[in-house]
Amino acid sequence: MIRAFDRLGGAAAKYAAVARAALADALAWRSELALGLGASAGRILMALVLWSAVFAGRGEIGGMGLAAVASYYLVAVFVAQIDRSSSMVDTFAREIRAGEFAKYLARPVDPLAWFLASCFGRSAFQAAITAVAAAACSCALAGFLVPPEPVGILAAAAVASLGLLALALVNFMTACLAFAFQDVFSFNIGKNCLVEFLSGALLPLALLPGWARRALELTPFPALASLPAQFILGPARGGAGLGELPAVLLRLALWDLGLYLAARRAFAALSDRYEEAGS
Amino acid sequence: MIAAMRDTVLRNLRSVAALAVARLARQASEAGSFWAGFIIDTMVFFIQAAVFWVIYLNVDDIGGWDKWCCVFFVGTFTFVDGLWMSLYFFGLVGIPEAIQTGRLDLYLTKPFDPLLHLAFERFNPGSLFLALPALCLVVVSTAAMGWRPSIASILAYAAALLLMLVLVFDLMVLARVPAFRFRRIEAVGAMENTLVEFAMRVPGSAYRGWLKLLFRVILPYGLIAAFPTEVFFGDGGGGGPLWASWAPALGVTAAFTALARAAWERGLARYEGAGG
Repeated sequence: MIRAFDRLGGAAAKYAAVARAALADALAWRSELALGLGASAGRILMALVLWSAVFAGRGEIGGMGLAAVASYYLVAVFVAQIDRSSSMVDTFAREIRAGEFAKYLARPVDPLAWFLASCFGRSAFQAAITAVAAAACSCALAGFLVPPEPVGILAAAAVASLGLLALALVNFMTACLAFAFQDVFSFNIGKNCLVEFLSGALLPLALLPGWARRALELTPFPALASLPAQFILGPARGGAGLGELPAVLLRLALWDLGLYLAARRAFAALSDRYEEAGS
Repeated sequence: MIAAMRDTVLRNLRSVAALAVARLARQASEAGSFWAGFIIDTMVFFIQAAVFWVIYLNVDDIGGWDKWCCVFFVGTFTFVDGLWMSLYFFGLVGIPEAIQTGRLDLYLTKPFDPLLHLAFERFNPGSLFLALPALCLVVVSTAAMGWRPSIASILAYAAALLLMLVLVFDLMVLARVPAFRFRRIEAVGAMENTLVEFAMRVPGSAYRGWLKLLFRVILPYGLIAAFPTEVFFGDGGGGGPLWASWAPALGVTAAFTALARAAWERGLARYEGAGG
């Protein structure tokens, strides 16, 4: 039993070091920080420009006013920005295709755990950037945005964490396709676009027809934008109440478990095809 | 002087044509990647059309544009995107890598403009197929509006598309010349992606006041799909091309062409090569 705990502690320390290395790598490029902030703020501006024109002369659309939609996008865009696992797909796939994947096989590391730890380190850095950008945007738009529900912020953080884990697992499986295909760049772009639409990062899911909303509620994707925004808005402003939180968390946990098992199975099935450069 | 300029232009055009033929031969041997790229690109733009469709389930117009006008707008962006992806996108995105690895040295030694060589050497005919669904969106939306375009409108639309291809080329070059100075410019790419999204996701009718100045002059990504759409529909009621909008678009494109070329030349001046 004690040995099992020792092993668990050793593995945790190992992957914490991987996450720290990824965080340090992200921190080393400071000019990226300023430009990253600009890109995040640009997405908010884009949503404001579009929806100001959509709302012209209208009070409410889909049960939301312009202030609620602006607040929705502030949350949705920044949660979507935190994810770094999508960009890791290209790195991982390139290593597979270039024969550099052997480094995971030669070391005592688990590729999936390494992938998740590295994503966590990079996403932690991105979360810090986006928190600053979100705070700056909130200050700039103070008086226009809907004030957030304090407890809703915690609920949103829990939901977004499970959603980001689900996305990282989907991205690991996308990267594993590189064992079978020459180029997974197109798959990654297509997956990103679909996830963006299904998560509600492109437009509030409240605007979709009822049947589409009910179908999407069964998937983990709304946890990447729509659900966190709804918890922060609160039920009084067209969002979600805390009463819905346990069911949402349970559903997401089940998805994470299912995707974890699927990722393990996908790696086991596809990694046999790996041939090192020169082998 | 004129003869020398003509020789240079002809030599550059011949070289671009030779690069295109070489790429066609290579692409023909990679059918999987070809079709995957086509299917994914098409899906991206149909998702954007779906976004507008959902918005129009809830409202009748966006800044005076009805749903078919927005579908036409998405079709136009898809059309321009298909053309720029096939012609120079993949070549220009390789510029930072060419600078950092010293690959640019090879281009400087050849009797062909290095920027054009880099831009067109990765000609990707697969992306041209994007023009087919784009054309469908354009034709279907025009038919749904019950509007019969004049020959002048069609010609003006084609000319506007060509002008926007030049503008996008300039904007892509400007987003990559920082690689002469900085080692990592991924965030510039992220910023560029955000701005390109403006071109696709925000209809031209949504820009008002200072936003119009910002996204149609200073960062003219807002022109890319909106300008050809406005040219095609003229005053919005099928009254022919809106000639007054040409002067600003031509002026902005000319200014950005000069700026991109100057930035490129300045970058080359400080480039020290692989061993520099």
